[in-house]
Amino acid sequence: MDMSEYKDIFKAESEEHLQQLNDSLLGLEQNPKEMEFINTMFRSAHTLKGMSATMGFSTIAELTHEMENLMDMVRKCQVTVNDSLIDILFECLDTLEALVENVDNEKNVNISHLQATLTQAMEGTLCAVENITETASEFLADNDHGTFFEGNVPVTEINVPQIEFSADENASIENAKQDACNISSLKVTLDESCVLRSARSTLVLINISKIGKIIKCIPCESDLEDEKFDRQFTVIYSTKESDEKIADTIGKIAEVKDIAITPLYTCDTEKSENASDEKGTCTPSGQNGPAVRRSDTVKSIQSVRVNIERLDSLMNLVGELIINKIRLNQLASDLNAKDLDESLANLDRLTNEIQTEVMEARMVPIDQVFSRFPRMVRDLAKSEKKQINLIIEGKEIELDRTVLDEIGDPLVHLLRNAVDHGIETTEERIKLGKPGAGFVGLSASRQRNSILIEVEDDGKGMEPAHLRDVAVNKGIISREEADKLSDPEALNLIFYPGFSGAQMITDVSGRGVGMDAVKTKIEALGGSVKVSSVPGQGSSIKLQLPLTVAIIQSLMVTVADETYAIPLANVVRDVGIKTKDIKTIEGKEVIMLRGEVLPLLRLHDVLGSVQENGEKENLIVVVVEKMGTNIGFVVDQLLGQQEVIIKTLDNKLLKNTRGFAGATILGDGSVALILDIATLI
Amino acid sequence: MAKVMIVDDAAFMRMVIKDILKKNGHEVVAECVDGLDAVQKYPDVKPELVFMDIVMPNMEGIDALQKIMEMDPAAKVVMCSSIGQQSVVTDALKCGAQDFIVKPFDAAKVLEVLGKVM
Repeated sequence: MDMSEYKDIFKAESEEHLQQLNDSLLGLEQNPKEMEFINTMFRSAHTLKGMSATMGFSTIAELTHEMENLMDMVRKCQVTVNDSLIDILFECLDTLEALVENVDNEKNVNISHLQATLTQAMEGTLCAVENITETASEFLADNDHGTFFEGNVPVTEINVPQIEFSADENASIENAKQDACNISSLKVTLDESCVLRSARSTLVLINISKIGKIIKCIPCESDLEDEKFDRQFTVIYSTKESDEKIADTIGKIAEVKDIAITPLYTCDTEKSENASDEKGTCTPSGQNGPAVRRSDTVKSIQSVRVNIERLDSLMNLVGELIINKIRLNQLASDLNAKDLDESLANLDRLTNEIQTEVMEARMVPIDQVFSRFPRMVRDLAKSEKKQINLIIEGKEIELDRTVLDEIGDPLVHLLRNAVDHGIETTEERIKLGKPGAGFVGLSASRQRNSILIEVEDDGKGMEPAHLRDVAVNKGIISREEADKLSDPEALNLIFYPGFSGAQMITDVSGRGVGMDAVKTKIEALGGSVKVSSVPGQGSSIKLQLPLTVAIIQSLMVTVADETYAIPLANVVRDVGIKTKDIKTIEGKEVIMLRGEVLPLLRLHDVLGSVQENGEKENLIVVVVEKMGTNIGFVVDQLLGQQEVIIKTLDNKLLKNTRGFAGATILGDGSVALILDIATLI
Repeated sequence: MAKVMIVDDAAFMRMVIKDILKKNGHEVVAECVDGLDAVQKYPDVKPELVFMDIVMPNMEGIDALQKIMEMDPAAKVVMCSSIGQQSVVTDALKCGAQDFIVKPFDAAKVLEVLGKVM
C-alpha cells in the first residue's frame, strides 16, 4: 500500500499532537497529580504510535510506544512524576519533533539512549517493566514467537487422548453425552500475520460458544488471554451442530488460517444433523441482521483544510471585483439610470460581504503562535535558574495568517528580553520584596480595526538615564541630543539599530535580532510598537497590528500627475511649508519644524519624475517616520486617506523592485504604486 | 458494498481507512471524531458497520461500543486497536464487538475483516 500520499496529513496531525503533548507536559510540570494531563499525553502518544506504525515510520512508533507505556504506568500510579521524568519526556518530545520534521530519514535516527532512559524511568516497578519490554520487543523486532515462549507452552503437538480432565470438565462431558451432543477437539491455527492473538482466540471462543459449549481450552483460557500460546490452540467442545457448521462458524472469523476437527465422541448422527437444520438460523453464518434502513441524513464534514495560496488568490480576485465595481459605479453615475443604480447598490453590498468573508477565512487563532511560548519560556527560565509564571491571555483572538507568520520571531525576541533582561533572579527578587517567581504576561486583544499584543514583565524595568548613557557610548546620538530627550523618548532609544549590543548580550538574547529588527518587522506589516517602563517595576511593549495585510490604510498623494499610496502607518503628519523657509545643510534641504530639523526629500527626485516648471511658493510635505527619524516628503497634492488592496510585485520581473511595497488599482482603473518607506530611502 | 461509519480521533487514520473502503466500493456514511460523536450520529446514520478506535478523548471506544450495542443489539462494530491492547479488545469482544483490526493495518486486513463480518 502506497502511503506517501498521506504524508502531509500525517505530518500536520502529528504536529498537532506534539503540541498537545508539549502543552500537557508543561501543565504536568506545574501540577504533577493532574490526571487530565496524564490522560491526554497517554492518548496523544498512543494515537501517534498508531499513525506512525501505519505509515511505516518505525522509529517514531518505537519511541511513542515507550512513551505510551511510561504514561500508562504514571496513570496507574506505578511511576511518580518528578523533575527528571519531565525532562526525559521533554527530550522525547524534541526528538519526536525532529523525527516528524524529517520523516523520510527517521529510520536512521538512533534513539537507543532515550529508550534506555525511558526504561530507567520505568524501573522500580519490576513486574510492569518486564511486561513492557516483552510487548515492546515483540512489537519492534517482530520476534519469532515460536521460540519466544518456548518452554512455557505445550501447544505444538497435542495428543488429544492424553488430555487430563478435571472433575468439573468430566461432568460437562457427561452432560454433553446425555444431551446427545458430539464432542470434538478443535485445533485452531491463526494466521502468521495475526498480531493480537489473545483477542483473536477470544473471538473464536465467543463465536463457537453461540452454537455449543466449551468444555476445556488448551492452553487454559487465562493463558489464552495472556497470550501465552503460539499460533495454535485447542478447544474441547460439545455441540449438536455438524462439523461443517463448526468449520463455517470459525471460518467466518478473520485471521484464522486453519481449523482441524477431531471427533472424540459421536452420538446418533441423524439426530445431530436434524438439530443442525432446525437451529441453523441462530448461528452467525445464518444471521443476516435486521435490515438497515438507508439514512438520508448523513452529516457532512464541518471544516476543510485549504492551502493559504488559494485564499490569497481568492482575496486577489475579490480585489479585482471591487475595482470593477467602483468603475461600474463611476460609469453609472454618468448614465444617470435609476434601475442600474439599484442593482449596483446590491452589487456593492454583495462585494462587501464577500470581502469580509474572505478576510475572515484567512483568520487563524493567535494561539498557533502563542502555543509554543510556554515551552520556550520554561526552558529559558530553567537555564537561567529563574522562576517565571507566564500568563497568556487572548489566545483565541484571530488574525490574518500572513501577519501571524511574521510575528513569531519578534515575539520570541520580546519574550526572551523579558525573561533575560527583565526578570531578576529569585534571590534578587526576594531581596527587593517581590514574589520569588517573576511574572511575564503575553496578551492579545482585538481593537476596532487592529490587534493589540502586549508583552509585559514585573522585572527591573528600564532606567531612562542608563539608556541615554548606552546610546551615547555607542555613538548612536550625541550627549546634547541625549539630554534633550524626555524620559518616554529615551525609552525609544532601544529601537535604534545597534543599540542592543555588547553590554546586553547573553547566550539567549541580544544576539542576532535587536529591538530595531522587531520594530522594522512590525512596521513592515503596517503596525506600530510602543514601549513603556517603570524602573524597578517592569516594562511593557505593545504591538499594534492590522487585522490583515491584504488591505492597508494609505494616504494618497500625487507626484508629477501620478498617484502614489503612502501606508498610513508610516505617516506622522502632513504640513504646508513655504519654499523660502527651506534651508540647506551640507547640500541637503532641510526645514525647521517645531524646533526640529526635518530633512526634506523631493519625491520627484526620489522617484525620478520630471519636475514641473517653476518652483511653487507653497509646498506640501508629508512627514514620514523611518527608524525613529522623521523625514519630509515633498509632494504635489494630497488626495486623502483611502483603503487600498495590495497587489504584490512578486512576479519574476518585478520582485527585486525596491522602494515599493506593491501596487493597487484605483477606482478609475489606473494603477497606483504603494511606497515602501523602509527601502525607498 | 457496505455503509460504514468510521470513529477515530486522528483524521489521518480516518483518511487511511476511508480510502481503503472507498477504493473497494464501500461507502463511508459518517466520520466521527470520538466516542461521543459516534453515539450521537449512530441512530441518524444507521451504518451497516462501524470501525471504532479504542483510545479517544471524551468517550473511549469501548464505552461508545456499549452505548451503541444498547441502542442496536444487532450493530456490527469492529474495534481498531493498537498493539498492547489485548485486554481492551478482549473486553470489547465480550461486549459484542464483531471483530477487530490491529494498527498498523493494510488494505487486505481491513477488507478481510469487513468481508467476514458482513
